[in-house]
Amino acid sequence: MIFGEAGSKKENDFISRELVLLGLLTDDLKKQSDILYQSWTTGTQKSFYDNFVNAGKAGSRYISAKDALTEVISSMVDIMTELPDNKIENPLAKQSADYAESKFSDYSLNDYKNNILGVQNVYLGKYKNIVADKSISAVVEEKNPALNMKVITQFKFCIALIEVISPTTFNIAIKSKIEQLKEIQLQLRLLNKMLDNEVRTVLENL
Amino acid sequence: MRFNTIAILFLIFFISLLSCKNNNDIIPAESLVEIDEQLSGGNTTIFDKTSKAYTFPLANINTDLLKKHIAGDAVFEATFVSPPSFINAGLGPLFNNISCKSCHVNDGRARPPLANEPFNGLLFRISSPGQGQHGGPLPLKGFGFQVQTRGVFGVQPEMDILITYENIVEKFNDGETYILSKPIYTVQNPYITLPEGSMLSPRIANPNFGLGLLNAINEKTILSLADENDNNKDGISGKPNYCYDIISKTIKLGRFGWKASQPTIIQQAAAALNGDMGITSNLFFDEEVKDQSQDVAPHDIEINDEDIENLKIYLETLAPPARRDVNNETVLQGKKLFMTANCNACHIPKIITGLTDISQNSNQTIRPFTDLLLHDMGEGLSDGRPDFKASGKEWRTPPLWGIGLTKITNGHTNFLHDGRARNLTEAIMWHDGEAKKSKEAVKKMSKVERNALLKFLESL
Repeated sequence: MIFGEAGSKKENDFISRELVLLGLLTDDLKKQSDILYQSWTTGTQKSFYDNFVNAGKAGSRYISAKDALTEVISSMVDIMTELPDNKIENPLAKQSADYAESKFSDYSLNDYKNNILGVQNVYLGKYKNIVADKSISAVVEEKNPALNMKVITQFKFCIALIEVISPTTFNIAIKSKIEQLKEIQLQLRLLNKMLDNEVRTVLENL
Repeated sequence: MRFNTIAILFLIFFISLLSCKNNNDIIPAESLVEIDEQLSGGNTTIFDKTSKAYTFPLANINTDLLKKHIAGDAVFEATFVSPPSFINAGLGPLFNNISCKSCHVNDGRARPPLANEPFNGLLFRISSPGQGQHGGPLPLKGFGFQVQTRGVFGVQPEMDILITYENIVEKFNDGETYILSKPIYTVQNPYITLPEGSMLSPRIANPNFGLGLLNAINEKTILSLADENDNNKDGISGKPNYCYDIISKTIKLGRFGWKASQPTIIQQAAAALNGDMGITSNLFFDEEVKDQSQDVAPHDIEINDEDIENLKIYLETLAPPARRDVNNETVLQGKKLFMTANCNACHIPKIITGLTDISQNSNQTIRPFTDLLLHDMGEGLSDGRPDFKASGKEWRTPPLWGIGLTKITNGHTNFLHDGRARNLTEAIMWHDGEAKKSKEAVKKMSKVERNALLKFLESL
């Protein structure tokens, strides 16, 4: 609705009903963002942050810190499953950009790279340019340095495979760079296995 | 002497066999820890206790089946939009929500809305007094079988519903109070005047996991648990529901839904697509709003057979999560109390599944804590709305497996058909009718005993 087919939409192309809908969507996006912000703020009624940092204490939904860590790894695995198996697979298998996440902006590859970066940052305990002393990576490094190196290397490899496709966009790559996309899927699934099996085992044995 | 001892032991063994349900698939649960008790779904069991615990495929799934599971997951997560659209067209003209996952968050159970919240996961069946086609509910003129509280652009929803609560304060025998919260539903802004005698029934979205295993329980096994006329005089009857199967066009045993009024998973799924989102299929090719003034959409098939089949497979291959803390002393005490209060008369702890087309679900020893039968739960929980053989007071025993993970998966602990019970204690204390004796047994328990019972339930 914003970009039009092939990003061709101009300001005068918007009809009034679209503008009403976009306004409502913006309001809802703000509302959802506020809820998300509140959930990561301490002391609010629905603070997920408090649940997480107080894992193992009364009132937290997590019975132990280990449970909270397991939740984190499960969510990382969730994203890393969805990326190769749904987000890339559906448009690739159906050979149609209609199924791409950001079809109209044609920004899908950037989105997928950011998905991987987000999961990598959680693994590394990284926020912007700050890397925390305490992180999943630090725990894995202590217990199994070879595994930690393997996971970090695989994250970088997957990101590099996506970057190499540029400047071709995803909408075009699903037809012209099929083998490269399949390689990305393969490597993402390998990374996922490392997280789901090996890293999870390290955390569960703490 | 030795011969007499052996004879006595044999006699005791023989009598204990007779006192069990007469079916090899039902195994009486012992009060001590059993081997593999943590395997709620047998070999299909998933070991996860995070917020995603209900969302995993069967542990024993193979590659081919996993592909279909993933394809079905995509249908489950699809956001439908009003037609025309390149993708996922078909929402409306009236609907309750826009995707399966919007009500079944994390494949779990929904809760009633708080004040000023939209209805996500609580919907209302509606009907006229009397029996409709095939012995089912009679559709309410102008409203059909279900209330849709949302409409696509330019289409007026059927009504709004306001929920208020009346608190009932009661006491355990030890003096501790508890509050039961009775919902009161008020129809607001109906698009036409509601006909006289209309019957409303609130229904919370149920968890989706383990359905394939429940489907794999032999019909004979379920019927062996029934005692419709309470012939054994234990106060528990247990009645099968029989409902119309749209594929075979016959009446079949019901297993799914709050009143066991759906015979198969595919029918449950296709009916939900149609009633909750207005998605038509070859199974349900009429819009729910047919012949109403909101019936404005072109009538074509909006979801194909392949997607329906994959959705069915997805639902058949969601694994139950493993139990936790099975060896914990307090949990074991709670398990004993669960038995002595006779909760296991309906919440059957252990069943062996039969053969089914998803072989991974076949011949599994499962721990669903349900008999899939209807039980009279008393006037307090009655919705006053018959559904095939189910009266207003009768509800299917909901499975208890996974119940202890509700808080982590769905962020709440609301239970029962309308989510009125805000925790497990309230859910127990709402029991009545056939379950009254069990409730009274819990009422008499000490605080320590009640906590042990809750700890057992939370381990499921």
